[in-house]
Amino acid sequence: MFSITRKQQDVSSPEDLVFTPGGSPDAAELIEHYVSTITKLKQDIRKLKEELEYHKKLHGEISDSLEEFLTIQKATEIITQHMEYEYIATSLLNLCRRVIDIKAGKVVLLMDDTWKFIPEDHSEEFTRLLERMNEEGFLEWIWERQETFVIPVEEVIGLDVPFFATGSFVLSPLYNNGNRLGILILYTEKEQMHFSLRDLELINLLGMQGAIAIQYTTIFKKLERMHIELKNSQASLMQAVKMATVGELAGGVAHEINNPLQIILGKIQIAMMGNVTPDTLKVIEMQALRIATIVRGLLMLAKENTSHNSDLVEINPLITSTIKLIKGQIEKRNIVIKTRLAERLPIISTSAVYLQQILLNFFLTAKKLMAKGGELVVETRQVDDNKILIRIQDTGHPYSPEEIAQILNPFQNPEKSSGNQMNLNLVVSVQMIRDINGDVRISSSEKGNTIEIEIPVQLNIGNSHEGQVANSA
Amino acid sequence: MTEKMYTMESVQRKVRSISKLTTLPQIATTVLELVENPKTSASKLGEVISSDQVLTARILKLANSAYYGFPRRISTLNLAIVVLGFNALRDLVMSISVIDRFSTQNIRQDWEIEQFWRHAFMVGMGARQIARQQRQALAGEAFVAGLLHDIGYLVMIQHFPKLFEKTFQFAKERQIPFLHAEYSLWGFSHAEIGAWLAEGWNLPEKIVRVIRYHHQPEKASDSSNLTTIIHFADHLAATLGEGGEFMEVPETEPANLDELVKTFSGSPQAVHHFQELFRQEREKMSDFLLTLFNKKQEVPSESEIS
Repeated sequence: MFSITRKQQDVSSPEDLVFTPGGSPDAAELIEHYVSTITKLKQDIRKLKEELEYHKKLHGEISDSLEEFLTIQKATEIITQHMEYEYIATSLLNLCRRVIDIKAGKVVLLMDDTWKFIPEDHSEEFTRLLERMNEEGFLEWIWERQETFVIPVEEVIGLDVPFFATGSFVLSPLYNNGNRLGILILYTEKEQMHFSLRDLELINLLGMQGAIAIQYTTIFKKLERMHIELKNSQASLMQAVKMATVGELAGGVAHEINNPLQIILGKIQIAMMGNVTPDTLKVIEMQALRIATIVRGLLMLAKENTSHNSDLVEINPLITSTIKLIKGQIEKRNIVIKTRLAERLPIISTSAVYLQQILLNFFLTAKKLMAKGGELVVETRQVDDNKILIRIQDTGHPYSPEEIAQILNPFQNPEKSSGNQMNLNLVVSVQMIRDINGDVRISSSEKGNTIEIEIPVQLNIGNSHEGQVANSA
Repeated sequence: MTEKMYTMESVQRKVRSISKLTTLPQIATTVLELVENPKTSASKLGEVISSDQVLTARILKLANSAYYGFPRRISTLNLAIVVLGFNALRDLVMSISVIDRFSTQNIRQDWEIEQFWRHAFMVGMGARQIARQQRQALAGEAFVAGLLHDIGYLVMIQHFPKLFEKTFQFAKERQIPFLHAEYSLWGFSHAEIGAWLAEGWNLPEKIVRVIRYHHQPEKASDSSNLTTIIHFADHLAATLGEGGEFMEVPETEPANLDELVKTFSGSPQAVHHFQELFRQEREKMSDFLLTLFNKKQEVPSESEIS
């Protein structure tokens, strides 16, 4: 007989089978047979297990890597779609939640040498944490290493914040092209032991993507600010040029107003002596109207300077009234003004203030070029359905080709811009023409200079100013 | 001894048997595999490494060297894993295992073993930085590949001293680079010898490929550029005086770094940038090597004093 004793109840693995000596040889053979069968079965089970493991791994990893791929793609989307720190930070934290189970997290940005929590946060916990991390040298270290790392809560000595009881912090540097942008701090209850390479690499990747988004945003915001500054300085430059124009006008205008005023005063004195004829009153009225026209012209200049003002403008009357403003001072210099204005020009929709100032600038510049007298010809013509041409020709000192190039493209050779007031006027005028979607050409010969301005009949509507155009129309 | 002794087949056969004798420790191979799998947890990696207490102690010593410069003392292996990262741990295990398998004493008078290791670590550490900055997918392997790229020299010197001597004299007399002498005498070089050893060690195919083609990256046909990066790092190290100074003759002709850098980096000015990166690595490397070769004076660390 043979007997098999069990070391323990319910244990069935073959190692636990103990053969009691004394049994028959047959029994021994039988036992050997059983043992080998069991061993074989055990091997089979292990093989099956391995196979199962393999398949699980195979299919598991495909779906996992797909998931990871989607997570990263989501991160890429942040870059292209949003230019707000807050949005980037929130999305980044949400994406990190897909990788590990985080209890809290913050994006800390380094802005002008100070740390800023995004989303904004004044809670004790993270402020204290950042302080400790900084004092411990962890922040500096992570910049140096440029890699994500995990630090167990208990390793951050002296933190003493009940909220961070157990678990770990994950720190990921946000840097791009060597620029230190910030740090991603995550707090999780996960123990350091349970982190895998995948966890760290995914968070590292997300951090990199986030950093790119943050840098884009920083650059975008900087550009935006610079654009506004540029617009502002352009506006103040135009204002300055306008004030200079007004100053220059003042002398001439005083004369223009003084003349009719003297006539009016003379007529009134005669009237006070009791000599009133209907003719007297008519002269007074006419002269007063003359003054009114000039003043009206001046008032227009006082209006706010903006290219977005859309008025319905008749070009020819605008030219005539502008010429009236400067007629006195121009004729004093022996300059003859000739106008060849086309009939039936379409009414255009543009900024009248702009257009008048542009014309004034060109007229006054032409005056300066003709110190010894000459001829100023102003011509208008319809080019096609969409454009009106204003041509201003003078017989003054011609511009050099370099001067013309500089007036048209002042920023190409900035070192050459000599701050010449005359050219500055023209530079600003050219810019103003372009602001109202016009085009300008300047040419010169021995005989003088020709300036051709093309103005679109319709302002380029369909943009954000459409409403205003419609209102004034 | 006739030259016939050194046919490619005979040398290859002998290298294979050497690789069976001087194997890498099982732990090193296991760690290589573990780190390859992204799902490996810190605890699993820690479990494997800590089964060797001597190795663990050496790792902790290196982890606390100025090379890593962690602001606090890293007192446990598990902390080292999460703080320095899985890749760094693999690199440490490989560094220790490889230098343990080969002598760190001068075997030949005219051959500076210390310079050899400096070069190997310079290329490894430098390549790791390049790969990381380039965000190469194989950044993890760059260090190991760099560390092992010239391993064939050690096999040559320790196991084929006459072959080495002959090659060396040949190069010296004719004033030609060592690599040319190798190919004209035997038709193979330290690169193949190193690759045979790495194959015998069952190292990953991408590492074997780098060792084999590190002088001819165009033949490697790896999509990851790893071979080109090692080739580049090899030459860049030389420009900093960390190149082939371990023997009297130059190893090879200088390469056109500007051309090379174009193949894996977008900007042609990158050479200068990488040179700077190498200099920074070199600064930190000395402390690492001193600790690794156990030459560092034992000074109690701050935390131990307090």
